Amino acid sequence: MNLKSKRILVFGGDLVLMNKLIPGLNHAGAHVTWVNSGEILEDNFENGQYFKFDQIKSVAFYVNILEPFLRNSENFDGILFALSEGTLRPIGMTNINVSRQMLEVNYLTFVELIRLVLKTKKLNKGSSILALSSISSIRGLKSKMAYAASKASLNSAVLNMAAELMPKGIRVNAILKGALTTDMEQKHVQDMFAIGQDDSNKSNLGLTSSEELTTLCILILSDALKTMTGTLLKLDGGYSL
Amino acid sequence: MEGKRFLITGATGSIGGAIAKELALKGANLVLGVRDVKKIEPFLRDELVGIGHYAIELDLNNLDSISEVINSSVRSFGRYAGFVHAAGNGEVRPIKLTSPSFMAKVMNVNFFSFIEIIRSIIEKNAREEDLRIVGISATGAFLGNSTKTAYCASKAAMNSAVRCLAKELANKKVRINTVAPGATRSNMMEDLKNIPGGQETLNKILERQFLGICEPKDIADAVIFLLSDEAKMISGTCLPVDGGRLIS
Repeated sequence: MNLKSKRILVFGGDLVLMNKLIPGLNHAGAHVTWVNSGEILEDNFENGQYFKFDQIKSVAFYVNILEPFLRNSENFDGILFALSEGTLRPIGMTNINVSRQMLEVNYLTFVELIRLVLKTKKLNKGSSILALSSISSIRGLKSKMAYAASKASLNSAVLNMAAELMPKGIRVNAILKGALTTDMEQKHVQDMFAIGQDDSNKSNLGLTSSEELTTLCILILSDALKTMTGTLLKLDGGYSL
Repeated sequence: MEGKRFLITGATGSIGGAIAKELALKGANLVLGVRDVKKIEPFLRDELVGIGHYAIELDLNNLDSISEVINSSVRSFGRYAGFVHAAGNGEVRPIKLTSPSFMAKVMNVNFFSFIEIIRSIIEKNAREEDLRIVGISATGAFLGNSTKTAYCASKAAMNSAVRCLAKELANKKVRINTVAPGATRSNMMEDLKNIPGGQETLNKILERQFLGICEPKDIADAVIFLLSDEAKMISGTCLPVDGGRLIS
């Protein structure tokens, strides 16, 4: 299992996780093109490039900015979609703008990214698309309606795209991740602790490490599982059981 | 159901219409939220048993207007005992034509409007003490279908939201569920037949829906069960009424 000579487009992702995941992809042999907003530690790249794209969370700019970027890129053998946004709000405070924003970042951007990659013909036959989703998408959680629904939409898009892109030899899968060790440094997880909604102790096998997530990403992006498509893989330490 | 008031969207469709007819038969009073009130008048007059049924203009694409329309209907007709969201946009497009504006249009009708109505109807002055909500989802929320990304994703959003809201609203005596119809004799099925390759797609679906095509009344019966006291311990669930489609 390796990613030798593969060009992987990594889209989004929080800095704490990506600083561990991208070197992992590099070590497996991949050339990584990481598109994200914000700053990164450039010396984490052994083999690849970083592109700062300020409007990454707004699909309104994709045709004007992402499409020209893709047209100037080389072809990819895989895409790792890691863009995500999550906040906690009870339904009374989840107005239409909150739902829209969450859906735009967690679902619409994924569909638009894939649409533009296909339009610009930048995905090689046999490519693997992998979306990082959340175990929340299949659970009922208080104050997480908008987030969970947006991740469920992402899961559904993965299933439908898998069916649609099969004739092109492109695989589409998702990882439904539970709490990661790196999440403990994230504000939304600290918020959950603050309102007593943290139930990560239900992950009886413990929190998932970034190394474990990286291994699974490499496996799915590699040619080792050439017939696996339309799969939603849980990586949650047993949380959802 | 006798004397209880229910809000129904999508009553101009086959499934929504069947739900309205069955609820009326059981003595419920209905408020039908529709885009064009005139269009539904013959249905109100000729097909619903009983009296005390009304239609209100409710544009599910105009999300900002929903709250006021619901509040106004409460002032006019009284509090609601339940809400059924049967309105749906089932347009299909290949991924290359699935633009953000198209996805937003589908989401508005199938998901955002559902949530906006819930946000209004759960207010204390808008409802009876016990409130029952049912959304019409789709088996597509669980499956992979070519060219149906936007539709299926919107229905998956609905199911996921229902799981969260069932938990969040349980202490307010709100029960909320969805029904996932398989291929059903409906306007949407007729639309599917009329698009290129549609009949072939339908045949493939029916090969795996081994109990045959669902009738709108089959879906209505499931919805009425979930709205009734007999389902008082059921919340956060998606009930497939799909002729076996999901297990085949």
